[in-house]
Amino acid sequence: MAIKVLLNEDEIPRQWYNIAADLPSPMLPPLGPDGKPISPDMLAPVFPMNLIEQEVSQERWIDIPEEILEILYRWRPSPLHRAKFLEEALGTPAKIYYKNESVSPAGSHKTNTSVAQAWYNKQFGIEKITTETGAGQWGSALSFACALLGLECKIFMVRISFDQKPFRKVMMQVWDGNCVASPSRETNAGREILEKFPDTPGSLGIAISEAIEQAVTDESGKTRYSLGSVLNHVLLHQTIIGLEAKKQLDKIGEKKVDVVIGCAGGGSNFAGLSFPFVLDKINGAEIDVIPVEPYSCPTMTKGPFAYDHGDVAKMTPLLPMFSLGHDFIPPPIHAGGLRYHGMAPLVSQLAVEGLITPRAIHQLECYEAAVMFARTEGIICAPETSHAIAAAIQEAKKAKEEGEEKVILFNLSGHGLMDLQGYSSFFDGKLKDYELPQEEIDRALKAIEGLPVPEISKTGKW
Amino acid sequence: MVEKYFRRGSPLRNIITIMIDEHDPKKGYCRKLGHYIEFKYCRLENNGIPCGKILDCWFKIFPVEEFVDSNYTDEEKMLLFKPQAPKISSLIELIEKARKASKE
Repeated sequence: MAIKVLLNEDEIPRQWYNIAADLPSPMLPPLGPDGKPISPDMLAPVFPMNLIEQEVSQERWIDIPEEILEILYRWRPSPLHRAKFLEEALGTPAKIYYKNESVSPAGSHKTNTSVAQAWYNKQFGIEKITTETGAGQWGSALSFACALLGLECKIFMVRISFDQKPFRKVMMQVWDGNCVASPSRETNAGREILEKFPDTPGSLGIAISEAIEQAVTDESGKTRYSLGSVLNHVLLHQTIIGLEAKKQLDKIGEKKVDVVIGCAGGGSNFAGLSFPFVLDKINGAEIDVIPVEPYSCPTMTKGPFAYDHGDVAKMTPLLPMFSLGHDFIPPPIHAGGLRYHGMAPLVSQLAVEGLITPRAIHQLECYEAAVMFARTEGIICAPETSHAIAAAIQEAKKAKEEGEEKVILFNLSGHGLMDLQGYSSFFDGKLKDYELPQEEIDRALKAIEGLPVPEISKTGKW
Repeated sequence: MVEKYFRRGSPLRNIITIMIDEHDPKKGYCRKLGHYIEFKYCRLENNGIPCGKILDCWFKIFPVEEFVDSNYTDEEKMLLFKPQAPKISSLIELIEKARKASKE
């Protein structure tokens, strides 16, 4: 039995898969406050045009430039593991596979897009990329990419993190990232805040403002901004995960996958593994594709698909997304980092079509799954990743009850070695589960009554 | 400086002034940043007003809902707990803001 399935460098996929080309129903465009769609050129001040083209592309396959592959070879193709020891512990007839993205230099799937984004920026003539970071996960992934491509990388790291969380900062420094504490005196946004609050510890919001401002106001036009989640081109770059997995399964003669699972935050790691399998489903395959989110804030599982403002003042543009409404006030819960008001639009559209089936899992079950996984397979996963493991275990137990030898695949999106506090709280018995009451959801949904309701484009095939 | 964030018009304003910082030294995990911080950071995170995740992160440590109810009006709470704006929308907003600021 193969425990690890490896691909050689010459077997790596040479194209990304763009699911926008195969959506059975068209994706609804983001709307501005005036009700008109947001146009691509509105993003030009912060992204190079080649990435904006990917953001709006309808091409099914997009070539991965050889120079990007040359960088990815450092850790890709990533291994596909058979979770044999977890299977044995569960006593399940199911075969569980996981794609191990924790082997990347920065420890997660983030580098799949940071490398691609840095390369396209360089091709466009960009010399410097800005971004923001808290504890430093995305900042370190982007620093790594920029270092290998000879680009300047400027990271605005929230002041309190800069002072209290030195190790990711050191990672960025090792990869030649120019990490400064935010707010800084380098931007209007930073100076403005420092004038009002000289001792401020900063925030992610301020850091984003600084990173955007530096990109927008560079008169040389050689600076752009980079984002590590949510947007279409980010999801596109991640599809190499699922494309590799398909080749690896084929290599060991696994002809059919029954269940594909990924944790769903902004949607990029879920999309990366699942989109190539969703293509099979569109073409007739019977596959359950499951994005997993915390039970605490069921944005996709219970919210309707509607245009929704991003703020209570209704000033931000309207976007089609799963939502609990713009005045949704979250109840007191701990959710392990996956809570978002809305999901990536591409993922939302697949849920509308019924091509994917969102699932919510209680956090305690997730940590129990993560610990079981660590004690069988050995890897201490990131807290977000534990949601995918928990869903895989649910499916494996179901297969046991039904006596079916199902093939289950999930994405191990990252390791948790620099984020162990959640485990500590779990072992100390400090975590609680919370289920949003239906009446609370109903109340919140009343808030979006009267907003423009999108024409739900849905074929009804799934 | 923080007085402006107290419940407006309350006859207990002076008492609340004492109460609002009583939890400041408590330590908890910030999911936005990914490490431990003091409650004071969360109380002032959003340009001097609380972070929208303050309930999520602190309920298991002390009665933070009670703290919020005691110190902020319903209007303020709506502002505090407004959902995170979609990324693409907030990017466009920040681009415009940066452009305007650079022209001034």
